[in-house]
Amino acid sequence: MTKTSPTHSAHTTAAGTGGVRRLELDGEVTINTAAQQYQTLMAFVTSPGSLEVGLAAVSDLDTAGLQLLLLARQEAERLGATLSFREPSQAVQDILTIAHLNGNLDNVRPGLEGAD
Amino acid sequence: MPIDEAMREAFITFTNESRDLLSDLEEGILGLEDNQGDSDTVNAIFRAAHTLKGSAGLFGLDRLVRFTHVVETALDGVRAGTVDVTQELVSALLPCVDHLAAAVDGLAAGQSEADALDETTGDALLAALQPHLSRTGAGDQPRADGTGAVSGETWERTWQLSLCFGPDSLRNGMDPLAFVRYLSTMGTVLRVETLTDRLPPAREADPHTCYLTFQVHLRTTTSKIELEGVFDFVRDDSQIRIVPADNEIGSYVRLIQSQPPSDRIGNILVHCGVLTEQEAATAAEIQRQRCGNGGSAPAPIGAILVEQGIVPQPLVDAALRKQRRTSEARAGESQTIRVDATRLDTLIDLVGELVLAQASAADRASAGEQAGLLEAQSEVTRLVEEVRHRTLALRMVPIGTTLRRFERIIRDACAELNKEVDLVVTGGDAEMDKAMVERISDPLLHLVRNALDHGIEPCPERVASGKPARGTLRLNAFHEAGCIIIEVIDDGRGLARDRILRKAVEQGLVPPGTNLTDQEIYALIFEAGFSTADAVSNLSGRGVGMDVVRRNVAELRGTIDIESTPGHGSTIRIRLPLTLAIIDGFLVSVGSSAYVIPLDTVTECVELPATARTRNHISLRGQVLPLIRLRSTFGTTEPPPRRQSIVVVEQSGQRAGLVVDTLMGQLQTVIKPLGLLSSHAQCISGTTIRGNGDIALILDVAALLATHGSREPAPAMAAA
Repeated sequence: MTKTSPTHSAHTTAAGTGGVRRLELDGEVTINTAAQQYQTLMAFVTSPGSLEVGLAAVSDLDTAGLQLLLLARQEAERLGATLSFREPSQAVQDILTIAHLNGNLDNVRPGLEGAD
Repeated sequence: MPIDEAMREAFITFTNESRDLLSDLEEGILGLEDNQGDSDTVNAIFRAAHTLKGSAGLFGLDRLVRFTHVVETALDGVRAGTVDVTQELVSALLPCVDHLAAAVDGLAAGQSEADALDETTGDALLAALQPHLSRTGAGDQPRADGTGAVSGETWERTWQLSLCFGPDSLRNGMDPLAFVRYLSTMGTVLRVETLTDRLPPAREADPHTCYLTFQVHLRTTTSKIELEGVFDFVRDDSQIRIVPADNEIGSYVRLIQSQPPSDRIGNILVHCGVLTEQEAATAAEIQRQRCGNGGSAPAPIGAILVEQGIVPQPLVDAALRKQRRTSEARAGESQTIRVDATRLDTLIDLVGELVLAQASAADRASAGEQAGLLEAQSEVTRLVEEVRHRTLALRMVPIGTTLRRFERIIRDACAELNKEVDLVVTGGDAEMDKAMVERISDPLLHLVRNALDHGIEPCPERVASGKPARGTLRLNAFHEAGCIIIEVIDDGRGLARDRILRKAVEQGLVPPGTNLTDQEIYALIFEAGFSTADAVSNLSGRGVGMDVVRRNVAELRGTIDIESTPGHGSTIRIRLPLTLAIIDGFLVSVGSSAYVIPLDTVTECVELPATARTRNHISLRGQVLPLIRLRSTFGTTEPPPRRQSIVVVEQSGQRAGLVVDTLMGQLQTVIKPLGLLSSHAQCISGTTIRGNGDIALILDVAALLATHGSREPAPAMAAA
């Protein structure tokens, strides 16, 4: 278990149980907070294992934010970790709907549910 | 009514051109039945109606304009796909074309518009057309104008938008996803794909740089131009591509095919709504840049459009095909020019004189034996031959146009007689002199009507005899030995030999009990007043036709034969000489006179064997060759030379050897018609002037063969 103390307006918390490390993102995950959120995510995805990113407290998500999430997932794959996104907030849901992405940020094929 | 001279001339041009347009219109409408929705045909007939309307307007012929307008509207509907092409539509359109043709004829003959175009008839025809003009439903067919929508009606399409946002998009305050959200308000977003292929390794990424590409499938009625407009603010930095979704490519290809002609693929594509002006400008700019750089030939716009992903390949291909067809059609159009027929005739006469003068010069040149002069003369001969050939060719038209006109008549006749007949035209490319085409048209018409009326049986009778229910009438034309052969072939019941003979005896044409060959019996139907039809139909059976046909054919120096198989059908064969004016001939002398034998009838020349001096025939390579001694034919009194020659001639399947004194070689000469006094001379078809100024008589080989044939002891059929 690791904790990261917030140094700016966007808050993240880290928590985990039973071998799964979890990062809670909160506040804006947008172009405005991109730099900081990027640092947070990169500090989180550092070693193989089961990783979770909680999205319940994300108040706003835009393309920049989505891109960060995708970068995080890419990094996890590179390190051989599994990264899943949990409890998307309404703001996140809206974006997922617009972008036709599922909860795992995979493209949804029309007429299909789940990942390609 | 036009008054002054210029207007009168223009009016004549108008009536001539209108006749052409109406002819095209009729042919095209008939073609619609067989060839539904062929876009070139549809466009052509629409343009014909449109042009006709416009020209009529120029002359203030308002009634004509109003009438044509309705027809044009109907054709526009066909073109746009809102009017279905049915047999009923065609049957309603054709009488309208007839009405217009009659009106044009009336106007050309000097009638006023009111007289030429009867409003009552016209209104009735238009009323018959009305039911077909109602819309059959818009359907999903794309229609084109600049924005891809027509007159307020919108059409839903699926677009594939490829939004490759530039690296600075985020920094510039744009949110790509907001665009995607906005698109969903313009239609139905069927699919979105977020492409991450541009993402760098995470540790190296810049959180403020955009690496994402979105592909959106959007179903919308919005035009491409409007969609393009959505991305105005990001365009500089990003690559935005909007193309029709894959499954719509087919519709677009069809749309391109139905476009009016254009020789710029950019215009074609913009007009369909798959290319915007801005994209066209971009592609043009790229082309300009590349051209400037390498100095080599500019890359084709089409290739650039495909390469840049602006327009999918299949659509560029379709546009290129359209462009090519347009240039081909345009090349064809611009190459024809109307020429006054009398001017052409004057030219041909002159060429005829030139041929004679040249022959005379050649004669003197060869007499003088100056090598240089001979060579020059030979060159002149070659050129004159070429000029003659091409000048005569000016008057040649393919017979197919005339033959295909019968399609209409057959269609109408079938409806009236309740028979089903297909018309097959083969050899339509065969060319003949324009004047002859016009004169053979009526005889052919009569033969066709005859075949329909008496030859082809009604469906039940055909089926009962094991034939296909639909009869076939074949019009075939081809060239043979300097002639053109036109055949009218039907697969009907054939000529009734016995009935013909019986009728002929009844009418006193043949003494009873005479023995006649089948051929001779069939030939009886050409006798005046002869008809075996028990019922006189509207079309034929009045017995005034066949003899007129034979006379017309004879006037053209042609022949007509019949072959028939009872139960299977008949073939009527008309043979006409190709050229009326100039002839290639073989010069021979008989006594002190010179004769010209048409070269296309000559197969070979042999020496008259001494043993055959008094015989009527010789054996030529194992076959009997009857001899015709021209000395006897023309009553020559001078003593014959020691050795005579035989010119073997053949025509209409008959062969004979003409015995002459000397062979004088080939020549090419102008046929001068016989004067009135000597026009009854048998076996002579004309005269010509030789190089040395003497006159030579041109032999009518067919007549010679026929006369000779009649001298043989034969059943009592009087010679023609």
